[in-house]
Parts: sequence; C-alpha cells; structure tokens
Amino acid sequence: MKRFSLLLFALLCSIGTMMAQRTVSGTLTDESGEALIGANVIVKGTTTGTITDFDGNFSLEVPEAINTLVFSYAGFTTQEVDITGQSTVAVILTEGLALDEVVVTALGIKREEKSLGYSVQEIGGADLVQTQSTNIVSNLAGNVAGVQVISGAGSSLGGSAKIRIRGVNGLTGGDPLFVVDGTPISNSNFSGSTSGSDFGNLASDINPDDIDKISVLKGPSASALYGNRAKNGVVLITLKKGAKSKGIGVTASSSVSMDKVYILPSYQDEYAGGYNQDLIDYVDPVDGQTYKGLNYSADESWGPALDGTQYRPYWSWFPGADYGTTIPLAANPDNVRDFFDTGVTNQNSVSISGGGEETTFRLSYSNVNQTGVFPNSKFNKNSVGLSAGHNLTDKLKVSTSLNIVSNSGRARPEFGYNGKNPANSFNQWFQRQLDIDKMREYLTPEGIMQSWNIKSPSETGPLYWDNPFYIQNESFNTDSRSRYYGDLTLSYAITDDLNIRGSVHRDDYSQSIEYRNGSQSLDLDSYQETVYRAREDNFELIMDYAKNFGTLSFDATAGGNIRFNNYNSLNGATVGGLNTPNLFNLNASIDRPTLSSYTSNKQINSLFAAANIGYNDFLYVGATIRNDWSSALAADDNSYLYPSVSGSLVFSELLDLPTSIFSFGKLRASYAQVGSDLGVYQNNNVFSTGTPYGSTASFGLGNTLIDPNIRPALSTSYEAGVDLRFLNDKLGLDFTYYNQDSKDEILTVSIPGSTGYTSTLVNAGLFRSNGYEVTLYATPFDKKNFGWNFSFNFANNTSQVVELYEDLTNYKIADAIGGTGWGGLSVNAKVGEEYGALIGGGYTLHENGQKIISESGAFKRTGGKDLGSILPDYTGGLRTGFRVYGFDINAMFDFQIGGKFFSVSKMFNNYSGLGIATVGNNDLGNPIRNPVTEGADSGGILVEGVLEDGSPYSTHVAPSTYYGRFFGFHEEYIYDATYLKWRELSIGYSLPKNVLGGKFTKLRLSAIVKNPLLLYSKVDGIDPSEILPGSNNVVFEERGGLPGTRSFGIKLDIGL
Amino acid sequence: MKFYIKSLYLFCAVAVLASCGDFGDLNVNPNAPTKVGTETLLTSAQRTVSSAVGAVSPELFVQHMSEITYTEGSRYQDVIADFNGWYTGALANLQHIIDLNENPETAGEVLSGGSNANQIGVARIMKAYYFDILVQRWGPVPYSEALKGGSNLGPAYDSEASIYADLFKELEEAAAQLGSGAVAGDIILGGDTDEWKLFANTLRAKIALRLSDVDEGTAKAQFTSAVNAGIFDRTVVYQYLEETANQNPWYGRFVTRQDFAISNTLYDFMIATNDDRLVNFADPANSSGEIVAMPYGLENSDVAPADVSFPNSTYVRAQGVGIPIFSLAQIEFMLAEAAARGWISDDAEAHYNAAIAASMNQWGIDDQDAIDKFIAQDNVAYDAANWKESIGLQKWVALYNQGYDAWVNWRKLDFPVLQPAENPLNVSEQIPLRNMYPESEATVNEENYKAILSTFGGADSDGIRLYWDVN
Repeated sequence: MKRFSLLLFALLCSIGTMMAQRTVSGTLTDESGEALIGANVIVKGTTTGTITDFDGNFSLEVPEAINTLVFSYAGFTTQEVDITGQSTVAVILTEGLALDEVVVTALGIKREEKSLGYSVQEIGGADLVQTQSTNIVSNLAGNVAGVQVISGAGSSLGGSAKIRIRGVNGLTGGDPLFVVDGTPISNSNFSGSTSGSDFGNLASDINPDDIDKISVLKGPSASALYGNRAKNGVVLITLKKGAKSKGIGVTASSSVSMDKVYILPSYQDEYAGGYNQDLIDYVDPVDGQTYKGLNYSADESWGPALDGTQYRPYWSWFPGADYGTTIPLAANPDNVRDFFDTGVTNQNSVSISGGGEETTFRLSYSNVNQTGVFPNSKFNKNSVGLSAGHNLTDKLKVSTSLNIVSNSGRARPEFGYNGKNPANSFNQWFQRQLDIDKMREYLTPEGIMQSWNIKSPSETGPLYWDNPFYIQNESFNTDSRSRYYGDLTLSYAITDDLNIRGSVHRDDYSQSIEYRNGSQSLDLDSYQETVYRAREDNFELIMDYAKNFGTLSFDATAGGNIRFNNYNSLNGATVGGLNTPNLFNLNASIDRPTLSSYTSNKQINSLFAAANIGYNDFLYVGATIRNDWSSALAADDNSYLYPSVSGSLVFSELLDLPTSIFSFGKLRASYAQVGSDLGVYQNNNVFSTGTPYGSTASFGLGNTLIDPNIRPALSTSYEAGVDLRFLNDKLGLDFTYYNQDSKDEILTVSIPGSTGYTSTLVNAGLFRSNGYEVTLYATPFDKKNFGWNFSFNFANNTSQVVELYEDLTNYKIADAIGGTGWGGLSVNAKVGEEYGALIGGGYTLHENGQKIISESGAFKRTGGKDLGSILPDYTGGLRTGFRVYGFDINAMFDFQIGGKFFSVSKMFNNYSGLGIATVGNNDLGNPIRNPVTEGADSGGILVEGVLEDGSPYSTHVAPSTYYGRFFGFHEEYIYDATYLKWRELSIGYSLPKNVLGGKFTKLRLSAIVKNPLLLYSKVDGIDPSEILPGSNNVVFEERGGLPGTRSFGIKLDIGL
Repeated sequence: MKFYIKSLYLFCAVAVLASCGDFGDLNVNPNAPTKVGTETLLTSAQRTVSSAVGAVSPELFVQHMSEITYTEGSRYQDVIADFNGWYTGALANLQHIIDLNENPETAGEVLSGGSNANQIGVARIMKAYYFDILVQRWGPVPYSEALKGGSNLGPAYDSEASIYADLFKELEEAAAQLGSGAVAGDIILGGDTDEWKLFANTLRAKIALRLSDVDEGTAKAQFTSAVNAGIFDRTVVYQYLEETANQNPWYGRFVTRQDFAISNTLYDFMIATNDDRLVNFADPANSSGEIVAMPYGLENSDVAPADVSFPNSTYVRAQGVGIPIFSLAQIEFMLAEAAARGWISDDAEAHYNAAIAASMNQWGIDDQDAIDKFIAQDNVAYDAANWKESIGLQKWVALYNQGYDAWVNWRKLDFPVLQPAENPLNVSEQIPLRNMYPESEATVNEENYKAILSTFGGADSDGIRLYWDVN
C-alpha cells in the first residue's frame, strides 16, 4: 500500500517541463477529393488530437519534438504522416477496413488499437441505427464475438434485452457496466422477473441516433479502471459531437414500421373446450327448452369434436340481444393470431451541430411513438441530447454531455405464468373453438365483463380467466420514467504533455409504475403505485501525461473517483378491494392500504493509475492499478487493490512481408485482477418485518445467514489473442482465449432450510470460466460501384465450479416457478461439473436402458435428475453487406448452438389439450382421443417401456391422462435452444452527392425488416432467442412467453 | 522551501488515504431493525399455525372435500411438499427466542417478552408443535442437527422414533419450566402460562396416542402422564381476523376462485347417518339451492362450480372464523380410544358420545335430544368390539376442517375405507401415506438426502408407511 501511494503521489505531483509548440493545419480528403468530415487527427504517441471540420480542415497544436500525425476515419485505412518541417499538410486517405483505428478505452482514453494488449471490439453508430431498434442492447446481438444478447419477445413493448459478455462471469452472472461519454449509467430493470410487465432495461434510454460508436471492453483487464462493476465487461458509448464547421449541420431521420406477431405454437382445431367429448344439456330458464352446450368453466380443450353441431356459446347466456343464440360448433384456427393488432412504431429525430474556433456543440431531439401488438398498449419516448465544448482559454476547456429522457408506457402486456397474460391463456388454458371477434365486446351494455370462462350458464361471472380484451383495456399497468444523465468536465493543459481534468457525472432517474385490476375482473379490484428514484454521482479528478522519448512512447494516467449511489422507493397498494368501482387511487382501499418505503446510500472511493510504454511502434506494455474503499464492506476491511498488466507485439513490423499478402499481425496478452464488493447493507444482520396480527407487530429472523467475517475478494483473469490481416486488410482473423478464476467470491449460497436459513452469505469457492472468441472478416469486393463485405464471429465459453464452500457440493443458481409443487426444477452449479445444470424430474431407466412404466402406463419419475446444461456451446453472428452504386443491402444473422431450457407453455399446451400433439392417430390408426379399450378400436397414446422387473410392457393411455402425468415431469419439456435467426435485413438507397446539389449532404431511403425468419429452431412455436422476459437473469425457463414479432419499416435520413 | 512542499504533499496524501476508508454509519440499514423484542418473533412464529390448521391437501386426501374443475390436487399431484419454510420461518424464530433467552449476554435484554423461563418454555412447546406437523407428514426429518445455522450446513435426518422420544421430553420439560407471569406477543393463548401447560400436555397426549400400534409401552406411559398432568377440556382455535392479512385461508381461497366442494364420500356417509352437521359443513349449491356433493377425484370433470356445494360460508369460510388447533371432540375421541385400549379406566363409550356431542356443538347443533337420537342410530352407536371403526368413522367426520389430524386418523385407524382417485398422479398411485421430500434436498443436502432415501430402498415415495402406521 505504501509503495502504491508513493507511486500515485509521484504521478500526481510530477510536473513536466514546458515545451515549445507549433501549429500544423491541413485538409483531409478521400481519393475522389471529397472532404472527410469528423475524421480523427491525433498527435502520435499522445492523447491530444482533433477532428476535421465540414470541409475536411483541421488545425492542431503539435509539440516540437513530435513529427508524426495519425489520421483515421471510419471505413478508411489509418495513415501516419510525417510533418517534419511542415506546417500545412494535405492528406488523402484510402478506403479500407478501419481496424487500425484509434479506439476508445477506459476513462475515455483514445488509443491506437494495435497498442492494446486486450480485446476491444468497436461498432460504429451507423451500423446501429441502420435497423432503427429502440434499444441499443438489442443492436449488439450478433455483432460482437463473445457477446450474447438475450431478450424477451418484441410484443412485450418493453423489449428488455440482457447482455452477457463471455458467458457467465462469476457464479452470480451479471451485467456489464454501461458508460456514456464517461458517465456510468444504470441498466437496471424494474420489470418483474417471473411475471409482470416488461418496462425495458434502463440502457434503452440512450438514443441510438446520438451514438457515434460503441466499444465493448470484454475482459476485466480492459476495464480495471472502472472498478469492480466492470468485472463483466464495459459497454463504452461515445456520443456524436459537434465539430468546427462553416455553418450549422442539420440531420433528420424519420421512420415508420409495422409489427406483426409471427410465431405462435401449433394448435389443434378438432376438439372444443371441456373435459369430456359429449355436449352438455342445459335447460334455459327463460324458454324452458333444452340446449346443447359446452363446459364453459373448463379452460382446457378435451371437449366435443368440432363437428358443426348447433350449440349455445358462452355469450348466448349473457342477458342482451345475443341471449339464446345457437351457432355451429366449428373451428376458429386463427383465433389467437387475430387477437393481436398490428403495432406501429414511429421514430423521428433531428440534430443540429456546428462549431467555431472556441466552441462546438451538438443538440438532438428524438421521439419514439409506438403502439404494440397487444390491444391498447403503447409507448412514447422523448429524448434531448446536448454535447458542447468551449475553450475558455488556450489551456482551459469546459465540456458537457447532457441527456434528458422521458418515457411512458401503457398496457404493456404482462408476461409469465400469470392470469393477466392473455398469451398465457391462449397457449396454456383456453378453449380452441372460441371466436376472438366475439370477445372484443368485453363488456355487456350493462357494463358486465363477458368472459369466455364463465362459472355456469346461470352464473356468468368469470371462473378462472378474464376476457383478454378486458385485461388490456381495463386492468392495465402504466409506467413512466424521467431521467437525466451527463457530465460537466473541466480540463486544463498544464503543459503540452500534462493535462488535468475534473468531472462531475450524474445519472438520476425516477421510475413510477401503477398497477390496476379493474372492478369487473376475476381478481379483487386493486391499485398499486410504486415510485423508485435512483441517483449516481461520480466525482473524478484525472491527470494525463504523454510523451515520446525517441523510439519510446510513454503515457500515464492517474486519478481518483468518488462514487455515491442513492436509492429510494415508495410503494403503496390497496388491500381488500376498491370502495368505488374503478377508482384507482390508494385512498379507495377498503382495508388499510399497505405502504412501504426504502432508502439506501452507498459510497466507493477509488484511486487509480495506468501507464503504457511503446517501443518503436511494435511493442507495447501497459499496466493499471486501482484501490477501492467501499462503504458496504466491514469498516475494518473495506479496502482492496487490484492490478492489471497487458502487452502487445505487432510482429508484422518485424517480418517485413508485403502488405498485399500479410498486412498486419499482432499478438496480445493481458492479466488482470478485479476486486469484489457487497451490495448495500448486504452484510447487515436485520430482521424482516412480518405481517402484523391485527395491531400486534411481528418480525422474523432474516433468511440469509451472514458470515460476519465477509471480506473483499479478487478474481483473476488472463487472456491472449492474435490479430491477423491479409491482402491489404481485405481479410482478417482475430482470435482471443481467456480464462477467469474467481476465488473467494462473495456469494449467497443456498443451504438446506433445516439449518434455519435458506442461504448463507460467505466468501466461497473457486469459479472458473474460460473460452475463446473468433472474428473473421473479409471484403471480397471493394470496387467503386460494387462492394461486398462480411464479418463472422463465434465464441465458446465453459464455466465450472472448482470449489464451493465447506462440504457443500452444489450451488443453486435459480429455481423454476411453481417450486416444489411443480416438481422443483432448478439450475445448479455442481462442484466439478459444468455450470448451469438443470436438475428436475425425468424418466427412470431400467438397467436394460428402457423407460420404466407402471401397469397403468405412467412413466416412473426420478427426481433430482441432471437434465443438461443451460449454457450454449457456441454463440455467434454473421453480418454482411453489399453495395451496388447507391444501393446497399445489409443483413445480420445470429445463432446459438446448444443450451437447454424448460418450457412451461409447452407443458400446459399439451396438458390442456390445446396443442397439436394432443390430436392425431395412434399406432392402431385410431384417433388418440377415442376411448381407450382393450380391442383394435382403442384410442389413446401407446406407451411403451418396461415394468419394474424389466419385462416389456405397453398400453394405451388417454391423451388427457398421458399429458396430465407429464406435469412437473421436466425431462419431457426440456428443449435444445439451438437456433439460427435472421435478425435484420435492410435495403437502402443513398442519392449520390453530385445529384443532391449544394443543399443536402445526405438523402437516404431505406427499407428494414426485423426478425425476417427464424431459420432453424428445435422447438415449435417458440423463438429460443426470446425466452427471457423482464428482469430475469438466467435463461432456463420459458414460462408463458409472449409471441415474437416481425416488423417491416421504411426510413428516411436527411442531412443538410 | 522544497522540504515544505514535500511535507505538504505527504500530508495531503496521508490525509486522503486515511479518510478514503472512513464512511461513518453510511452502511447502517435504516429500513429494518437489528434488534426486536422477542414477543414480535413469537407472534411471527405463531402466525404460521395458520398453515398447519388451514392446509388443503389433507382435506382432499381424506375426501372431506373435492376439487371441482382442476382435480390434480385430489389426484395427489402435490405429494412432494416443501418443508423448508417451516424451518426457516417459525422454527428458526422460535429457536432464536430460545437462544436469546438462554444466552447470558442477551437474556437480560429480552425480558419484554416475559421471564426467560416462560419464553423458553412456550417456544419449546411451539417448536414441538411444528416438528410434530413435520414428522407426521414426512416421517424422518432433520431434527437433532437442525436449526444450528452455520455450525451445521448439512443437517442429517433423524428417525421418527428418536424424534418422538425427544418431543415427549421437550413437552414435559417445557411444561415444567413454565412459571407465573405472562408471555408477551402470544396470539393463541393470551400469554397465560397455565394454558400453555395444558397445550403441552394435550399435544403430548395426541402424539403419544399416535404411537399406540408401534410402541404401546411408551405410548401408554406418555399418554397417561400427559392426561394426569392436565389437558384441555375445550376447543382451542387459531383465531382469524376480519382483515385481508389475517383472514381465514378458506375464505381467501373463495374470494376469486371456486375450487372446492364437499366430497361425495363424506356427504354419502353423513346422509346415511342422518347427520345434521352437513348443513353447516357445506352451503347449498348456487344453482339448485340443495346440498350437492362433488364426486371425489374425477380425472375429467364437467361439473360446474355453481352446481355443487362449497364449504360452509359461516362455519368454514367466514373471513374471521377460527380453525381448531385442538377440538374438544378430538380430545374426547382421544380419551375414548385410550379407554378402549384399556390405558385409562374411563368408559370409552361415554367419551365417544361426548366427542360426538362436542362436535355437534362445535358445528352449531345444540339440541341434545337430536344429538342423542343421532348417536342412538345403529350405524353411529359405539361398537366396543369394533371400536377402531366406530371411532375412526365418527372422528373422521368430526375432524372436518382439521386436515392433518384427519389424515393421521385415517392412516392409523384405517377407517373410513377410502378408494383412491381416478388416474392418480402420485408415485404410489394410492392415497398418499406421507409427503415426499422437496427435491431441493437432492441438490443442497445431497449426502443426507441419499442416506435417508436408502432407508426407503433408494427412492422417495408417498407410499411408504410411517413408523406408527403399522398396517
């Protein structure tokens, strides 16, 4: 510690000697003479630089000692230019792959890609906005090797997307850190995890049109400078900035797209609702006649054949004009699909930017207006962004990046195994013959809800299900969020080589959610209102130093950061119903409403330093060190230090091969440690507030046993990679291998409940995660009027628990819904085995390998059976683009190979006789739904296996019994999540600049298709890439998932 | 000058580093207490009695009630049951009360709950009550190594015999240590330690009687000792309140759903014996206005809820109506059985008749003539030669709405003779004889779980007879 503080001290206090400066200016154009606007110009070996203005001009102060400038621009080959003895230069860049580019690394420091000893992958903003997704996280899917994006269905209208970098890092998984222009921002999610509405992940507040580029720092070495939150990687987002220009630049874009539901399970259309195949006789009390009818109280479809018999539908029992109507009992194959609307998304954005000698600015506004495929659902988002910089003096600069966002949603559908999720009903508990159009009149003229699931003809109240239109129109949730985030930075150039900057960063949002249950609904009418407010402040002081000494380049950064997190929530809910129908207010509560509030504060103080040395442009070594002090750790043990070292060797510089064959080769390696921290108050041993008995208070012991000696812990990782480019960079390959060992991680480990606790918080285990990432890219054609490029990436990750805690042999990651009553499926990490084992009930095999069945044809169930790992073997993506004259075509695919999941929807789809598997013929050629008999006319499903003694046995079982027995029999509904998905297609046309004339700089029209095709999946009716709704973190269970959507849109981009 | 600057830098650096790790009380959770009165822990632990007396599945197993539309519970789908909540909730809180009162460092700080001895005594009795629920449902469960927190992360399962032996000891010792003065936070017996002695003795007698077929010596000794020490002569209920948070669970089950009706098995038996309690067991069906039973355990039911009789809206599913922890009828039946076995010198028939009368009173039938007339019927009157059948059948009726006790009664006395549901969904494909362990044990307590299963022949099943269920 002492040595560290001295080092830091020396860095902070050293003051370089003053150096002479000169001004170099010039112009930058492409081969055709077009000015390159906004290109990077960097003084080699330093972090100082500028960008070119609208005419491709730049002007830059360059230290006398340095004679090289580095020019880079997206899509062009980076060029170094010798400026010895020159004050003006005219530089022409040639088009090419831009991997030589300067990339943004931690703390916003721009560095040459070749000098990095770790893996960073960058995506340009243009690639992101092409398909106009409203959530930037979704846009990362398939783009970056080792980055997996998992999301809920598009129909959720929240579109939460989760990002996993390098599989699961650590036992607890976790999100990467999002940083926008240096400001860490929250990517929290206030959606439910197993059910509820999807309110989106908070990073979706970023306006994609404002993004200049995204750097994904995959390993902890790339991110040691952001502290332990960066352990799972960092998504660094750089927003567009204004530049010095003649006039004011204006860009505008407008798009409209239509969403349609595209994936639904295959339903049977042969049998109606009910439990028996005979129609039921009902005597109508009005006319005394006997009518045929169905079992309206059933929410399963084991009923009579759809043979056209006249019968009384449920709505014929409601008083009114339709009372007494009979209709033929017939199929409605598209009833589910017809429930959904066509969603419409409008996105409009405009920006103005410009700058003079001393000031640059960019101001943008964007609006998203969306109506969902679920009736009555809508979403609206407004965002304003401002970035500005001003030189107060030659040396003192002030800059800011400020973003203000507000959004609101209404009737976002509920997902999960939940009575308020219409899709849950359609796929799991429904009557197949129902006519959806009849349901649209969800209220009778008297204001009574008409549910298809009535108690009986004499009692037309709902039994188990509300009318789905009633839910969407009367029992909906609303939500809104207002947020601002950004920074204010002052930077001062003490000398040419030494710069000091101080910044204040803030991310502040307030999220409110209101839940309603209408007074006609099955459940007690209710209202709940929750307000969350969170604020994060970062105060940062950083000193940068850069200097070249002959063939040596040196740069160093040192600084300190204070982070403060404040969080509050307030929740109120009515109890016992509403005293006035549909009065959605807490004071309408019949019993005393429940109220609760929560507040927390956490602070982390940090000191950090980084240094990099380069030798002769081919050998680079860097190191970082950071010390954190966290308020959430025990006061006497709250400090932890973690270093990293990295190096790169550009060996192509040594080989001297012609660039037309081997243009670039680099080896890189890095080693890093990251400290761990506790959540706020996590080590506080507190009692939980119990439900009072009348006015008698009750408290309970907490369920987590807290180790009082909990201490910070370190995870150690290393990675090595190679970057190879051939044929003048027209072909490239990037390979990375990494290994991360998390030791003594702070874990909440499940323990037997019989200890008195459900879990214990301890330092435990050794968790190892390793894998590799490969990116292959090529530009087979790159002619003036025709181009074709593609990039393909894939990654593999394996994770394993090497040690756990004391005698424990299994770490339970998550439980499936339904708990023990549903058979107790869980996801686990067993010591010595691969992470993510699904453990649940399955077939029992006899020694002879056959499934054991009972004489009644029931499969013998074995509990606690290992049913495979949830982790995919490979994930990856393919992006390709064609350019023909002014047209461009871009397509993006992504895939996953392996990984298992359990489907609740599938289980109940069969259980309730809705699914296609519940009809058809058996081995005897008879419909399986026919009665089971001893003879050749038997219906039923043939069950084959062996009895306990191993003797072969088979029998026919009625399908309702057969599928009924598979409840909680997980193995039957475990699916392989392998998929190949065509995610995006866009076709655009840009008018050539010579046609546009003087006024316009850009005019582009494009057509966009999202989710054009699920090319391969092993599961009928489920998109395995969209099974993770809301805030849930572990993908292992599809439970009442919402249907996927496909969208078609057009977009117009204008630049002035 | 140089020296001064250097000193200043050093001073600054030291000051910065020294204060970096000092956060004052920033990490003190303002949202929840670190210390609470033990009386609040007792209240919390006692609220769990609701889960013991208000459970659904045993009421289905003994065919008091039937499910109407979804019949999976009636077909024994949920025999795998989770015992963890009992340990982590009520039992952990009770153990904590005992620990705080026994630890000399904290014993003086927790007197708001009553004297140390009284608090420990009541907590031990409540613990025994809950462990009795566990052992009568699952059989062997973690006991002697349970509730030890971090000092034993893998509690082994104890045999039923050893758990019962310890429960007897606990109840006897706990009753003995209760002294004068009240216990605070007691929502069951108002803090009265004399009443808690009766509670301990009644519970001990109830458990003792259960062992009659397997260890008659212990059973008789414990039963007579408990009865001699004094048992309840009244019904003790867990009282519900007319508020959502503390409402009767049967009321709650019918707020938005209509899942349960009186079973045809119970209905047919009561009709055959002209039992007046029927009208207070069940409500008339909504459509017909008559009491209509639901056939038990159908696989595919087309019966509409409106056409069958729900549990009675005054006696069973009123929001604030209590459910017996011990009913007087049950206690009289216990005495009747003890007398029939010759353990006590009382007249078995007198207790049998008193039990039926007590049950009639409990269910709103106060006309003694009518009660006498009922008892006098051939198919009701006490038959000393077949006392197991007499007591088994009438106790089965009297234990309506006391599910776990009724399930034990059926398993032990083997009356009434019940037929399993159609196409059962459980392992044994018969009426369950026990609950199966939660499968979480296979992952978090693997070694001990495998060890106990090996005593069952390697696999868990609901068809395994418990220690006391000899035939």
